[in-house]
Amino acid sequence: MLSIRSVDKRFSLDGPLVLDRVNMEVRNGEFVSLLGPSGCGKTTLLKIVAGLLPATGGGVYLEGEESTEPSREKAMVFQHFNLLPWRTAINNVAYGLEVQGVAKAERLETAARFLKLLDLDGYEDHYPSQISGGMKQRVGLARALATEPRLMLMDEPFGALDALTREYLQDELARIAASQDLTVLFVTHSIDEAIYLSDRIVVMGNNPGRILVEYPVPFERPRVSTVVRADPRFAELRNQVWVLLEEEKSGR
Amino acid sequence: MARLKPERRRAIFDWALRIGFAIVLLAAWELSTRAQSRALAAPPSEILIAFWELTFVEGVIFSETLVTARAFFMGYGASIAIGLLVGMLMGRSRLAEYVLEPYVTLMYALPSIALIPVLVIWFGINDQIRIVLVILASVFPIIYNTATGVKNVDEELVEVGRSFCATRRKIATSIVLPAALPLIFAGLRIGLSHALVGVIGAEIIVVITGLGGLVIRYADNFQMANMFVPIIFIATLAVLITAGMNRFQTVFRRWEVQDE
Ligand SMILES: Nc1ncnc2c1ncn2[C@@H]1O[C@H](COP(=O)(O)OP(=O)(O)O)[C@@H](O)[C@H]1O
Ligand SMILES: [Mg+2]
Repeated sequence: MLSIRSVDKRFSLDGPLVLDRVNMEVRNGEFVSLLGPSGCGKTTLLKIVAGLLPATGGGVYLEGEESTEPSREKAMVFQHFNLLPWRTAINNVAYGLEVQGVAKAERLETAARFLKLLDLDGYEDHYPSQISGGMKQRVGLARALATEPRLMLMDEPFGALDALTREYLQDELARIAASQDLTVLFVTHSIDEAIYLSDRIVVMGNNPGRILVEYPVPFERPRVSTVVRADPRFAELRNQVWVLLEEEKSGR
Repeated sequence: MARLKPERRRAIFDWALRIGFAIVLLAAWELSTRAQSRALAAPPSEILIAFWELTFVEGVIFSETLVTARAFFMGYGASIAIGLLVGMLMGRSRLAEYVLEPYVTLMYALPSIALIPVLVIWFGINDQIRIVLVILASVFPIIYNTATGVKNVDEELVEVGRSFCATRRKIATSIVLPAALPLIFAGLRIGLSHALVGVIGAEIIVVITGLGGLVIRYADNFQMANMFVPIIFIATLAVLITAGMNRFQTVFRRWEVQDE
């Protein structure tokens, strides 16, 4: 279980407070979305959890143990994919395993398996410059999954994709999250995406970045997109969150 | 005659123009130098004969080519090793960059030939001076470009390595170095041409050995036809080394080829 306790963040001693006493928890197997206007500190919080940035105050705990550095339990999926352009798809997916010292034959086999899981078989030897944005992010997802982390940290992974590809990948992620029993902390600024994918939505506000409120999502997983989106509770929750974010925007 | 495709006709025309121009140029050179004193100029026909003599009859040219190539590769090889190390250091450490940057900028800008007198004072007239000069001529563009390339590596790519708990060394070799490769190659290419100037310059001005030494010896004896032979070899050597470098570069940068 992930526990974020009273995390503060300033980028410099006299800089503005970017995160203000952020508290939240993610249970094992839970899918939690972090929703908020851009610039509210979502990426910063995620990178603190990943161990890529130090917190100024407070701490991040995994199963009760403080976790300030990157570790094998955590894997990150980046908004801009961050594939290594000089590596083929399969070698990108194998990268984490390579870093962990897994033997070549074994890591290529594992990488091939995860490429297949994301419907990318046949593209093993393509370079990132040769595949579409949606495929790039599927490689990014496979790369994070291949090290079999307990916690997936995803920073607006579909934010740079067109609407159709985005919906397609949401379904793909929902399927994989269920089949691999993933624990996910998912950053987005799309309300629909947050509701459709998560068990719980944590809404953040701006200046300083802080948590405003949490909403449980009242749908069982697995979900069917058309059914969920047609449900009146979907519209209701969507509206509630929207009003909150609008108030937050105009109130300051 | 079968009908030729327009692009094929075009290619033949271009080729004919190229050959024609070369013939005109050689003919003009031949005609304008025939009547001149042999101490001042040599017509291409005589250069051709000298080429045959020096290359296949006397054979001095090959051994001298080896002498030059040896000094070049030793110096340039050392430059690559030093340049990559120092460049990586400057690119990754703000302090190292701050301290070293003025010297690199200064030495990069300074034509290396200007250092020949001081090298002669320190090392005497010594074959090894060529290697030192090659290093001084080529190491700074390599350092400068490597440092710039490394400094500008996308921090988000480095975060990929960090998120998988990669060691600093693993990040350096698997992310920073390949990401900086385009600029590193730019540095290697500039260093290469500086290194060639360095080795030939030292051979002509100081140590009178290798291909550069042949050029100045024949020139001093007013053997104009002979003098052009080592020049042809120098040009060929330079073209071959540059082509080798370009070849090497495309092997490393396959991924930049867009689409199938
Ligand atoms: N490296 C940094 N140095 C200084 N300020 C930063 C840095 N990264 C982010 N910030 C600031 O922190 C705030 C939150 O940024 P970010 O976490 O990227 O927001 P979000 O992901 O929610 O859009 C912004 O005001 C941004 O300008
Ligand atoms: Mg962000």
